[in-house]
Amino acid sequence: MTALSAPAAPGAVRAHRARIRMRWITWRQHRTALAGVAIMLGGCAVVLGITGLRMQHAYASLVRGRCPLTGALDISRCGRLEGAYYHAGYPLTGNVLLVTVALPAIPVLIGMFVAAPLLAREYEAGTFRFAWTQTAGPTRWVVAKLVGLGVALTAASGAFGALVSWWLAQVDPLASDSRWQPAQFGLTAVTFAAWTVAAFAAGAFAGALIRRTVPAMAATGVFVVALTAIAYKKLDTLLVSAGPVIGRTTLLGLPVYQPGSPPVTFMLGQAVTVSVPAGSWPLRSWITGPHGQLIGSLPSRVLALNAQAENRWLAGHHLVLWTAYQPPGRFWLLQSVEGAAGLLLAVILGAATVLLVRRHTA
Amino acid sequence: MNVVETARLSKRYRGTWALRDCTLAIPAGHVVALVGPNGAGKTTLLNIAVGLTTPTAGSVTVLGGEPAGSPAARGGIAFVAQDAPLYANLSVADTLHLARDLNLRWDQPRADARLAELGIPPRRKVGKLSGGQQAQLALTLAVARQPELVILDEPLARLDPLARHDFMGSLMAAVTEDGMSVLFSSHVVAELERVADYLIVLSRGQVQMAGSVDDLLAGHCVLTGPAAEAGTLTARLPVIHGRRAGGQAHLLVRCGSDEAAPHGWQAHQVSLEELVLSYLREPEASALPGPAALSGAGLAVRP
Repeated sequence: MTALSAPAAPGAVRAHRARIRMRWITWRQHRTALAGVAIMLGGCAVVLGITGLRMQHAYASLVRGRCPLTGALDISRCGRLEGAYYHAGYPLTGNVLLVTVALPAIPVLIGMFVAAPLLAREYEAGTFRFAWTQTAGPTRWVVAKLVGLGVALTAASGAFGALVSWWLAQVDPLASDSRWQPAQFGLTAVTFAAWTVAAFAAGAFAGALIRRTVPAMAATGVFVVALTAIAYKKLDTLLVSAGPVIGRTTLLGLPVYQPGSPPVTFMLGQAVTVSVPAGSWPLRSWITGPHGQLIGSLPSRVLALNAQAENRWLAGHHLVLWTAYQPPGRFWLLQSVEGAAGLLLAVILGAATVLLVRRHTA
Repeated sequence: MNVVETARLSKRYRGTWALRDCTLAIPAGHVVALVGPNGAGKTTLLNIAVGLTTPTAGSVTVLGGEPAGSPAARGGIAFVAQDAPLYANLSVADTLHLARDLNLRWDQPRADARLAELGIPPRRKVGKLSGGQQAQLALTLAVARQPELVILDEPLARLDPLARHDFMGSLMAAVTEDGMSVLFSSHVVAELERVADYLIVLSRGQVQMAGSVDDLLAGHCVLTGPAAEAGTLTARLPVIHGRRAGGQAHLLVRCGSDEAAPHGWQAHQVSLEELVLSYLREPEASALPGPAALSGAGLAVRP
């Protein structure tokens, strides 16, 4: 209680405690904003949780084991069963695109309403003159708030991203490659948390730079929307197509469905379907002839043959089918690359925010 | 020890100099009034002293050599900014909690006792307090830190006369109890005598006059005499400011206390308010402590 590093004041020093604490202050000043985030994430989580569980239950009881992937398919019966399963998550399952477009708005809102006022309001109201002239000083104040709130938001958005991934997997249990789609690639625990913390840092930076709440919120909104668009349109596409594995198959006949886990297939021309390991993200495929020459597509007269005749034709022509794909084992590696990019951006913006505050105040 | 010491301190905002080559030393143990017209650079000087603003040029140290804005400086200086900005949505008790968490030294019993004495309810939101109560709360927060120096920027500007009186009473009581130094800025010149014992007049970003109130008053007098002779007297004596009323001229002159008035003229004591106003009307005149006389004993004359 008496180990004071500061010079002693004249008169009796009745030290309350010789430690600066930021936790209570951070909580007290931002509990309303954090409650808003909790309500927003919690509300979405409840809806996703209920519809996800209903889909899971419906799939287990209606579809699994009753609609075989091998053997003869009863199209109308399977369609009916899948329709009932799909309906369990309605209306979300009917609007998966809407869900994957709406959820990235959450980081935007967090940046605008939690982060942008963090410093802008202090400047606008002049309270920084009070807060930053206490013994703790501006650096401690800003760093503690950025780190404390950043960690809390990362944890919350990470948990939420994991829930969204789980929900998306329930929507389409057969398509194990759907998580590779750009709209879903950015909605996992890793990427959603990374973009949320980046949006938070961007909002804080805008507040420190602009120093007015409403313009800082507007700038944050524009910046984070642009950032999200770039991440989904460019970064995701770039990442999932980076350094693909090239598979080589001699085309002797049509691949057949394998029992067990459903293979990912895609069409070549019309008749030839190509298998890649389950959970892979197929990127492209092409056929070369016996001398290595590229063959654009199979001749149309071959496509018109029945399967048996087509197999005979293929066996006699020594064609090689090449496929480029991301194997399933790469998924979390590429996720962590995108996560690291978001986190790096957050750290850079956070450091810039601290520097701005320090430059403004001594 | 000097609580604030600056050397050729300058601050420029977008091409305009708020402070220009401002050199001053404020000794500890005083209640110092920093006066000057609006735009003289008072707020800039105080903001630099508490580390909220970085000077463009020059140096500033506080509390006997600590760099302004350093942790040691922040620990020993409590600052009450203009209009005492506090968090309007926090309760009084939460505001105390916040200040307690942000400081190493904190006297909670004293803060509680002061607020009880002032009748400020702890549960009330700061935004719902009157202007006078907000100012008193800001002062309570400053005093509870047990600082060596309290800096207040225009503490009286938005208070009504009664609140002004009460606020200054509280400040003086705290000074008496703790012996801390006080530096406050004001563009209100009246009533300074009651509280300040050291005066700095800032004008156009520079120190125009600095010294202890007693020395400044002893070093100046008003000569009253026939207006016709005012011209010859002005050429002979260091006249700061002259005004004529009827056939009489009143000249504020720098003079020693034991000097006799010229024949036909009467010497009067000058009031602090009159002295400050005269200097403010004559921005070219200055009265500064000499190099070895920080107490203000000798007044260096600058044309």
